[in-house]
Amino acid sequence: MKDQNSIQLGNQAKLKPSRYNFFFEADDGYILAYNALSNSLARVDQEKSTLIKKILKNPNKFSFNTDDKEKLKKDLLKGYFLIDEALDEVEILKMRNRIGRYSKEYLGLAIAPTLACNFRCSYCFEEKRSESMTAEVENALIKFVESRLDVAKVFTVAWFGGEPTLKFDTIERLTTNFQQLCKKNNVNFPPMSIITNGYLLSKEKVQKLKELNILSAQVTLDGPPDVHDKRRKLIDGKGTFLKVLENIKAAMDILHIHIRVNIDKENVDRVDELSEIFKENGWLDKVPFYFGHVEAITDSCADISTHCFSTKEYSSIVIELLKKSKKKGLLSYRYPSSSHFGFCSADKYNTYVVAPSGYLFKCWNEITFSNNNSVGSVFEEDLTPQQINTLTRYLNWDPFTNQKCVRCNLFPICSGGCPYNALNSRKKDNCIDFKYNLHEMLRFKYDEVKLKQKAKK
Amino acid sequence: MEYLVEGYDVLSHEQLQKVTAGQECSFAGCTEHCSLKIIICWIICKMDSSVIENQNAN
Repeated sequence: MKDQNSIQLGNQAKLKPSRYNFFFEADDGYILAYNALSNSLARVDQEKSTLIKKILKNPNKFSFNTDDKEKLKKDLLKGYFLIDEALDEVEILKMRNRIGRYSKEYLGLAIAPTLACNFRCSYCFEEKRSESMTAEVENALIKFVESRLDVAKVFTVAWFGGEPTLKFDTIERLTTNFQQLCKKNNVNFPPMSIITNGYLLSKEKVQKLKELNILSAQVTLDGPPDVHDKRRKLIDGKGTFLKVLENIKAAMDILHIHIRVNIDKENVDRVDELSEIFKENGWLDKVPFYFGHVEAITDSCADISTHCFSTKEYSSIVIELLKKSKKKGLLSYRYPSSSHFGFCSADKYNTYVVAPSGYLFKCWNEITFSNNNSVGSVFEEDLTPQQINTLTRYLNWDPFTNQKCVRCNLFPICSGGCPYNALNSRKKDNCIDFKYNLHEMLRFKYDEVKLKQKAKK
Repeated sequence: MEYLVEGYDVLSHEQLQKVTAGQECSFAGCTEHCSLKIIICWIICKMDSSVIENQNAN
């Protein structure tokens, strides 16, 4: 028997087109075919495209009477462009959503060893606080993890803060203990990641991160030096660009460095200058960089709301920025992620955000929120009624009750969007940016794949 | 029909293992605020949201 998550194609006695098909023209005249359920992208020539239209219009009356047509049918079935008539794709998504969200087979933690930060970014969503994890909390967290590893098969950790490198000793101690626990319990403990501002990423620290198996680091650069320094400054107001750039250069051969570029109305006109800097450093084809949408997601950053773009505006701005970067030689583009198994840590049963106090939250945005927003603590097995209520809000959040989402043909790559925004009514439009720029983003991806194919030959 | 990117549903078990065991699904793909999403996806074989580019597809 195949895995229950697999879509059984059966004997395909009767067929129908998927509700998640997209067909659109690429710049070179080919037709791109994308299916959001399989998350696959293919290309066909104009002639085949015409044939596909005929097939999908009425697959059960179409005569697959040649080898070519039979091959095309197989290809369409492979990417779920064509599916068994008996299948209900929404119900398949619903099953996967439940399986993924409520599984105990993996334990995922995002750990903030400290809330202290050496930066004062203009758009930070966290309240300015400075508490760090004590030895007591570290020990309780180790016991908490141990108690969950008897069921979990995989344990993942992401480090963030505050600025996590300010409490490097905590990262080292916890990691060493987690590694021992996973070994003892035969649990898969894959490479970890860290979200850092990069300012303290000395060569020694980078080397140590590698030794600890923290192999990916996300570092943010928000534009050329003057723009970045205005937005991402030290506590004393001094700039950080040059130091961060220097550290990235030293780290990039040791860790997987990913550069995030946050976009709002304050820097949008200058961010493309970063491409020039990346080009000068030979990074355009080496260091993945991607844009982040700055949003007023908590009360701490509510005052920046006038600087923020709506998702629709942001989606179109990203396309313009990518066009400019492409001209300068950018080679890597973002591709949709299917979110069949839940959106993020917030809607899953066994994933938590760990605050330095030992309180557990569901969403990263809540890390500096009051303990009243927590869903537990590493010190207590029993939850308070308030914690139970917060937990049930997240775990019972069900995008399948929103008919607008269920009817949307991008539902497999969005699953209703950010649970935090949905539950807290932070945004009127909780749709993801692909809703507004899917075709353009897939065209970028197509060009990237073509270039790589060409380079291989 | 030439497949350029194959979602995990389309991948064979061997391909899935290759993706989930290594670096091919990177969290660079994640532009969401919460990168934990990808870290989890990266690892959980059948819960993986990764894709591989089928550079040999023809």
